[in-house]
Amino acid sequence: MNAVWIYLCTGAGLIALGVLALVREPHFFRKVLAFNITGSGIFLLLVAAASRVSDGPPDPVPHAMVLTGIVVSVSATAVGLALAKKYHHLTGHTALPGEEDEE
Amino acid sequence: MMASPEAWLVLCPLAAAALAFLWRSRGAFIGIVSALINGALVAWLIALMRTEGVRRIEIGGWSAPLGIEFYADGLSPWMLMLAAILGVATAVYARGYFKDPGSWFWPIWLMLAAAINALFLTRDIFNAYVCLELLGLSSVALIALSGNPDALAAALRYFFVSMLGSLFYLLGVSLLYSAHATVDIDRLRSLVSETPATLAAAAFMTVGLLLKTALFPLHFWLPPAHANAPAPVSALLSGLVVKASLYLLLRLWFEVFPGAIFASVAPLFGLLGAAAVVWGGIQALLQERVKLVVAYSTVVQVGYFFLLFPLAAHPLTAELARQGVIYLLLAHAIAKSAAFMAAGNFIRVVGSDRLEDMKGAGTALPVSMFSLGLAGISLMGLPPSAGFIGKWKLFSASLTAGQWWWTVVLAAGGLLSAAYFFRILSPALAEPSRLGAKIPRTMKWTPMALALAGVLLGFLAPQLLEIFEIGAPLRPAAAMEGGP
Amino acid sequence: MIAFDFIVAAGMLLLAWHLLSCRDLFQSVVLFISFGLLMALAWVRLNAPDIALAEAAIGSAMTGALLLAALDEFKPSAKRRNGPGPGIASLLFCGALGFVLAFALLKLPPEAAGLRDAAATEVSKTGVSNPVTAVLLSFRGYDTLLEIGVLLMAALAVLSLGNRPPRFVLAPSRSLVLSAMVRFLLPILVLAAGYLLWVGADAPGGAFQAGSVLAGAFILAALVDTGWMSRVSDRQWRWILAAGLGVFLAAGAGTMLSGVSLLEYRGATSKRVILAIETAAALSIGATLLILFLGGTGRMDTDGKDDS
Repeated sequence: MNAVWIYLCTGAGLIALGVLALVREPHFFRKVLAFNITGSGIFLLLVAAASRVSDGPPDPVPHAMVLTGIVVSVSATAVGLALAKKYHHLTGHTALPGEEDEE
Repeated sequence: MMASPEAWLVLCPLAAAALAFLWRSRGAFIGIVSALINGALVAWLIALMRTEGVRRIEIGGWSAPLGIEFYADGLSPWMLMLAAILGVATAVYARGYFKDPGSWFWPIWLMLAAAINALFLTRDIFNAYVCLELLGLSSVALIALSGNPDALAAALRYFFVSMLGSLFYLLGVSLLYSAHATVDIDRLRSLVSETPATLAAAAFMTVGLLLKTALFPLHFWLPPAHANAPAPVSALLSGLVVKASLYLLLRLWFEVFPGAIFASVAPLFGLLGAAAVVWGGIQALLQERVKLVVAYSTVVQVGYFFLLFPLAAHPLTAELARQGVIYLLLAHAIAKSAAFMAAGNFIRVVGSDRLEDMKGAGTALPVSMFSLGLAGISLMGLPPSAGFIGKWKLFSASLTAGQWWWTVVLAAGGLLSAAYFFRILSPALAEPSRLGAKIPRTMKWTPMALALAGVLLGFLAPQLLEIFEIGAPLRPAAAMEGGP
Repeated sequence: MIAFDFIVAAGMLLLAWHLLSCRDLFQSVVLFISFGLLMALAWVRLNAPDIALAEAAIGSAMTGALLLAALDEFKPSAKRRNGPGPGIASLLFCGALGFVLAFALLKLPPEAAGLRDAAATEVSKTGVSNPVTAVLLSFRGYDTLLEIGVLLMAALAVLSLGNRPPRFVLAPSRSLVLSAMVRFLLPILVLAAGYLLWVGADAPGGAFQAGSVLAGAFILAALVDTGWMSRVSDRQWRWILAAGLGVFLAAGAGTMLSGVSLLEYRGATSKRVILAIETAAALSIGATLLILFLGGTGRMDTDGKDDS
């Protein structure tokens, strides 16, 4: 058991937490947070799994993939938040119809 | 290497998107030119493939697994052809629909076109993830284009579904890379076995892509999203975008995951498909808005595509089923776009899309009416339309495989679609009214041309299927094990 | 060191749980930013300094800034529903998901096959020595081309929605201390961006890290005074946003027209091409992140015909 396996399990845990919140939380803002946590979990998993090497530098390919993933995720976050802001501005709702909860 | 239409198919629409952003007032012009160039590039690719067969190109001169490769067997040009036809039609229709030539539609749609082309050409499942995200974000922006609260709600719903789908897909990609150190489809195919990692990857990727493809019971987001978007966008989403994730799902199940799991999930896919046909058909009958009826009809059609799985698992019927589904894909893309565009014309004239307000719309817009009728023929699967060819092949496949129950589903689907199309057509054909039809000619005739193409493509089946069969795509891994 | 990893891992899980379930949205954002910093630590521990830099700059700081800008619209202290809590079904589903995943991961072979050796043998041909940069801009440069497309797409989506910029930008602070601090920080940030860009060829860093530092500089400048933004015309903004994709596409078309494969460049030329792409990309990334933060420049989204 070494550090890699700790991070692998952390990745799995973050994914489960993120998906749970993504499905359960009605508020757009929390859904966006959940989406980011899930993404982080997946990135962690990918890089940790590639670090299963006994010596030497790690595999750079997953590192590049994760960099790509981080940029994609910030783009998606921006689009989601912009949509949610406009919807809130027009309707005053912070969740989808049928999932409303608060205010 | 200049003779590589694949690279230009990605570069050109991306460049056009940037140009349409830089010169926003020229958006419509740039869009139409780009759609025409795209059509020419697809024709070039098909011409090359007819002599060379399957094409594979190392991007950047790096071969997989380190690099990414373009790959085209018959399925790729088939999908690209479908995208090219819809691209030209959408561009022409949208030029009339969006009165402002500087509409945001143009650069965003061109991004979508680039993502679709890139997805149909890549052999790399991580690259496909980037394509999926580009496609997802551009679709979301297009749904939200009208800016009204219904459209924004639909866009948000689609956004979260689409992102959850992409995350699940990416999780699968990560597991496959962790286990096999490659994201190239051909290398994965030779490496995968029934390990926990592969099984989990298969499950996650399938759920993610099914969400995006809107297979019953994961279809809940589709009707509002497709019904609340502007007409040319609905045409694209229903005709093309759901097929992109379906394409990836087919590649994975037929070319990556081991044959043994394929055989065990195939009946489940068939069952969900059948449920989609029946449930979607009944829902379509119950809707009060024209675009919702047409959108539920997409739920039905997606169901038909999944009948491929149980029928392809059977060696005797694999070819019939494959060709049937691929023809249905084409028929549906073309007819559904025509239907959404014609419905868009009605809505513009009537000012509402409630069925009860449609009275007399047909007299005011006879051409759109006729296009909707023709599209209906192809969607119901009546001869001689392209839809008929597809359904007929599936019908024979079911009988040959001894799985007669799928024929019941096909027949029920056909009857239901006849019923819901009649519900749109009958009020529209009622007493004449004095609605002042002010629709540009391009908007009238584009759905007509598409609907006619949908019927006429029924006559071209042998020639077109020859293109599809290049490199024999969509053979289940199980069937391949005996062969070379 | 295992103990340290345990603490980082447990901290991440706790923070994630807390930020997803706490009542106050502002608190969630603060926790999210701290989560990002812990992630950056984890990346360092996993020998991934490039990602650590990007995580701190983009994943934590930029995403945090976007979230804070969005809170301007939402009530930060929105109450959560006091319902029955997460449903049993979804709890079971996500628990199962976590366990399946952990099981599949623990059953992986103990040694990763990886493409490390393949990358190490080919890296000399790319003109750069940082293997991650080689993957991003050479081996898998095509991915990055599409990714720059995704960024521009996000800018298009945000501009097409045409939201107002957040209030704290519209009514900027007139604090002398802040503006003096920003005046002092700006040149340092721009220099840091340039350094990250240049060093990226051989050490951790590169276009994405540089671009996000640049974005930080832009945002700080916008917080103090938005006047400078309107001195750049809409058309010029659009060119800046599209520059990264434009140069990348030009490199693609150039390679195709000179008879080699798409984005095939080697040796000395390779280093120049990569640096050109990265410079344009960093500029566009910086501007894009600023636009995403502001939700538009305030004018570009309403007027599309200033250039006709």
